Amino acid sequence: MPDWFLLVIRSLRVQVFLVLGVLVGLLIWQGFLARQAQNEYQQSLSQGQQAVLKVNLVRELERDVLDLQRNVLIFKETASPSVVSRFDLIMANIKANLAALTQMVDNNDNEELQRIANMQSHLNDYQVNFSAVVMDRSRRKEVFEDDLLLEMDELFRLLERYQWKTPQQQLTLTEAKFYLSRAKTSAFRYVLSPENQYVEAFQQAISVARQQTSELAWSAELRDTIDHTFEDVENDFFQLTQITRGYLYLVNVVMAGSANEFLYLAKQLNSLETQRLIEANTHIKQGLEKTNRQMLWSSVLSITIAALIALFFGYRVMLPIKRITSVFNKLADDENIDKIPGRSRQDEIGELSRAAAVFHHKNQQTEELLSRAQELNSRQIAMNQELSLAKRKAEQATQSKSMFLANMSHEIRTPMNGIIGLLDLLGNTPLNDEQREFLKKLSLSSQILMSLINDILDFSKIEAGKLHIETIEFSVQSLFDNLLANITTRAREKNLNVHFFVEPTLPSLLNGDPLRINQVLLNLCTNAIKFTRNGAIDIRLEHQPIPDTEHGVQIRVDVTDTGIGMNETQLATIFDSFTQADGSTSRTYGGTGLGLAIVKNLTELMGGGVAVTSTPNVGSTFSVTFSLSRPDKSPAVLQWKPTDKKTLWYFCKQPDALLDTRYLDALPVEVKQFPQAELGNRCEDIDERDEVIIDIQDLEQHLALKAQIETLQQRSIHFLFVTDTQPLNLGQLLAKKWHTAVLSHPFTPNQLVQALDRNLQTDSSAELAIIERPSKQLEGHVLLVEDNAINQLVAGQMLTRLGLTFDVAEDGQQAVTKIVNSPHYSIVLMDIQMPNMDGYQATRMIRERGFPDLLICGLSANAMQEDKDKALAAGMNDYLTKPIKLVQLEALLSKYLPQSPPVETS
Amino acid sequence: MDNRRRTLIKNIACAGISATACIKAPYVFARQRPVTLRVLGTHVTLQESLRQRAMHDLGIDLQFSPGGSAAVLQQASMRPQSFDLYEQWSNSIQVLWRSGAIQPIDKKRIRYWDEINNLTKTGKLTTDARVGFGDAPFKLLHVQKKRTLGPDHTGQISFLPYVHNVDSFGYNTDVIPAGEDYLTESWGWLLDEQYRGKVAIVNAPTIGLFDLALALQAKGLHTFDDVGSLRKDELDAMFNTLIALKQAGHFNGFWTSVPESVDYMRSGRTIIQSMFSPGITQLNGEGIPARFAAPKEGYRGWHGVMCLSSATEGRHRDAAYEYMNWWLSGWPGAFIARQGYYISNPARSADYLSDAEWDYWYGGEPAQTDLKGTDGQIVVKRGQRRTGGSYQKRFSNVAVWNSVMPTYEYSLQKWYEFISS
Repeated sequence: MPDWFLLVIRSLRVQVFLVLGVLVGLLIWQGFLARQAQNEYQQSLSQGQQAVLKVNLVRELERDVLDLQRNVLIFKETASPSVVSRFDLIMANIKANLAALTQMVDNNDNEELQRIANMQSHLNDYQVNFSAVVMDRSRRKEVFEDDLLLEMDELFRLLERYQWKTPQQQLTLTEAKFYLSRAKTSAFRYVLSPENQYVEAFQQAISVARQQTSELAWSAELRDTIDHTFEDVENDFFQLTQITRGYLYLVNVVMAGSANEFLYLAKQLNSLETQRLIEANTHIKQGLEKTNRQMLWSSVLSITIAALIALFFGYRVMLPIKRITSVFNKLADDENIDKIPGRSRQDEIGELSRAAAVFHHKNQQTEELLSRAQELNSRQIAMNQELSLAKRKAEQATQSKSMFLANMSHEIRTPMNGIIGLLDLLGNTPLNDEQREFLKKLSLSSQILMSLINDILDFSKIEAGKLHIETIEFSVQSLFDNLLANITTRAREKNLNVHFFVEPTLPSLLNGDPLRINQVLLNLCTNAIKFTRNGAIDIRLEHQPIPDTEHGVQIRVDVTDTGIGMNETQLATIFDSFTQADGSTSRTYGGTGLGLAIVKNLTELMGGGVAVTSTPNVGSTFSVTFSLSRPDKSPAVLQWKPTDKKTLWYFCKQPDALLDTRYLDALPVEVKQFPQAELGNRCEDIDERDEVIIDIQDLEQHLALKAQIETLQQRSIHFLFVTDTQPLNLGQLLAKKWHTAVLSHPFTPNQLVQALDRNLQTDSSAELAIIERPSKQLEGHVLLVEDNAINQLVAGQMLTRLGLTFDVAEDGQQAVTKIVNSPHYSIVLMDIQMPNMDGYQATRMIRERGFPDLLICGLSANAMQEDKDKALAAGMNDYLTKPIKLVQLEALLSKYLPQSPPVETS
Repeated sequence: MDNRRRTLIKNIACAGISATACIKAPYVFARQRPVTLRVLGTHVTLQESLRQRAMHDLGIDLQFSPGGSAAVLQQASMRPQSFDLYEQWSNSIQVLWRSGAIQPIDKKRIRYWDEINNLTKTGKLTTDARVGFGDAPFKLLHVQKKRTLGPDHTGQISFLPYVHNVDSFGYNTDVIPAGEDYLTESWGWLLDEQYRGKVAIVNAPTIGLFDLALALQAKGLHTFDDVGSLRKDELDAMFNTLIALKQAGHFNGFWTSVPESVDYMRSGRTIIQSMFSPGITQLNGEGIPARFAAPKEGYRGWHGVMCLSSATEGRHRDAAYEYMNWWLSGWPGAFIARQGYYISNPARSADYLSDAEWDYWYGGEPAQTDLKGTDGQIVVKRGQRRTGGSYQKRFSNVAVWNSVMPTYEYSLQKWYEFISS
């Protein structure tokens, strides 16, 4: 047997199906038996009924055939026509009965059909032969009565008429008559009883009669007639015998044979049908007995099989399942299992056993895993405790670091503040050139140091997540002014061209952190200048609305230089902290390597990012983006409302036009653009109310255009110049010569508008003072609360320079006392960290003592926002980060204090 | 020259001329418009194969009208104009002759007259042969001076001698042990008590009556002076016995045709009965072991007669003579030999029979091979031997010929009583 078969047969499912199949089969068998028995019973019954009918029919047939024979015999004797019609009636009846019998016979019963066919055939023969007999019988009558007797009578008549002449003749005549009579008698006797002796007697008598007759003396005519008549008599008698023999033969032999055969067949049929009837009855009886027996046996078999199946299932299924169930119960109760029964079985029980084994095994594994997990869990808990401890420590450490940073910031800034302040003051004393130069460098170094400290501080803050981005409304114009002021100086030192372009539609007011934006841009621009030896720095600022926001604006600034550039490897790490393009960079260019890292972090904090593309020795482009928003009403940065200007003429050298065409496009006038050389030709076209802008690249060009410009001037046509950053003095020269506005790169859109409005102050000669000089003089009395003597000195000097008087308080306690005692201070400058009472406390106390409106400005080396917030929360009005610079101080104080007329100082 | 070789030569001879010419060549009259020859007779000789062959050979139209013995005899005797040739048995000759329904046949026009054997010419095939009771054919063949029929030879004959045979009874050797020719086999078996209810007799008084008479004699129940011509009293006594037997259920049936006799035996209705040779042949062909007895009392002989209608003349008579000559030309004799019949000039038919066939059918020798009947079926198995031996031996043992006795009409009456009892 094939393996698969064994596998299949061993499956309980298959066994169950098989068993079910056997039971169903038994049921079907029983049903089949019952049905068959019923069918057989019905069939036998109907067969029996048929047989009875057939037997009756056959009996009738037999009766009728006998009747036929009887009638034939009667006819043979009497030749009565009524017998013939009687014969036909019986024949018709027999035929109908035969047909009925044929109908009743099973079509497949060839033997019986043949028998009936034979009967029919015999019957047909019988009928045909009877017809012949009827015909012969009537012919015999004709021959005998109409021919023979008449002919013989004719002979008698002839003999009667004979006139005998002699006694011999008389004797012969008498004998002839006698023999003729004998012949006639013989003929009658033959007709009555057709036997050969009468035939012979007739022939003998007629022969003698003829002989005797011929011996008489007849006339020739009569003799002929007599001879012919004797011949006819002899022939007719022969015919009579032949006909008689024929129909006798037919009746006695042929028809009798047919009838007998018919009867034989009918008898056979009868006995056969009778036999069948008996058989049918026996069959019914036997069938019933057989069915009963079969039903009994099949019932016994069914019960036995059912019992066997029950036993089989008990033994093969229920018992093993019970065992397996107890095994599973034990497994479920975690009891130990020694042995699992039935594992070697091939059926579902075997599978269950193996499953139990697997379950058991898994149970053990689970237990092991549980204990291991418990162990791990306890270890985890311990680790978690350690971790939270470590976390707390780390948090404490971070806190400490923040504290440290704050402290360091304060601690480093305070002396630096002092240094810078003193350098500032020193610059205001009379110095020789060499001293001033040293002082200048000293000041620069201090500032670098300060910015380095600021960088580190910023980075630390970012690292600690303590850096907060402000969102305040600011003017982009001041952002640009600040930026350009910062970078122009440095660019000039390296004779670099700086081009600044702002998309004209940029909102002039934005919400964001201008300080940090400025820090980012300044950083990038400073870098660009730092790494560029010659060429130009291009700063381009564009914007676009942020999708799905009402006021969101994304600002993108590209800073492109023509510097040393970077390769792929360098680009990959450029934004990492403490990384520069390579190690040598810091040696060549200096810097902490924190700048770009700070840029990256800051832009990300401002919802933007930074990217760079660069080609070594060609240049780099840094692109930064910021996600900002604009206030509800924020006009475009380029806003010019010309009074009555008709047309703006722009003469430039294409494609290096110094004025971005997008600026021109944004202006609300007609713009006509021509090469510079066209200026002369176009002069006549220019109206007095028109505005003319001329690009001047260098002095040579200026010289070339001088005559045309003069023409313009003579015609009182307004014109202005645009120059590049280099050459530096070109702008001044042009301004001085033509008394008109000159736009030198870099310039802001605002400056363009001012130039067009003729408000532009050309102040290219202004140099950066090392120490800022106050531009204004203020009025007021200030209380300076500062514990550090140097700072007291520096701040005092600055206040003095601003034209202010002041008192000094050494700490918060003193300050409170002074204010309470003499409440006439215009403003209080309050240091935060002081002995005895710090700035916050002092401020709160002052407010509590009834001075809610007194202006208090915090001073602290803590540059962090939280410090500022804290100060404001304590009740201060403003906050200033140390080291204090004159400009900042001036800006702050001028917000609150009235201005006095400026005092010119040397 | 055997049949095959003859056919071959004939085929070669025909190769050069047209098939039609070849067929018609030997017969002069056939060149004229075909004659329709009407033949009245029984199924024994009016067989379709013979008709087709004869038409083919003679180029004439043949119309066969087979019928029952009595019916055809009556028709022939009373209406000679309804047929040209009449084929039946010798026992009908007297009636026909006396009724003037047939005309004498001119011996000179019978092409093979000289080949016809002595059975019909003198009544004795062999010198020590029994002549047999009843109407022996030689007594009826010759037309005498006084227009009667007798044994003296003249130039005219009443019938053409052709088919003949001896009959007895057949029995099923599955039931009845086979006996020995002429030694144990006896007509008496027909009346044997142990076969009661399984016996049948042919339903014809001119035939069956002699079977029964021979049986009664063999059993010793009756003795007859002339079994071929029973007297009335003899018939009365004889039928008394027979009717008693019939009423005792001894006889099962009376068959009227050869197929019916075959059916009787085949169906088991009978185990012993009067038989004709073709019936035996057919049963053997069907595998039923029917044996044709060779009774020690001798056979019942019969002789076929071919008679010329008294109304036939001219071209029809010429054609009738050619048909008669064709019957003796060999092939028809061979054809009927395969059914167990003999022809009056056997030597000519020998050419158309294989040696095995000749030896079996005529020689009485065991069959050297299986032999086929006229329908192509094997009817004789190799090794079988015809009961009763050779042609000569069988015809030397004829007890009685089929006859129309003077008491014919009376016998009909008795016959009716017998079979209807």
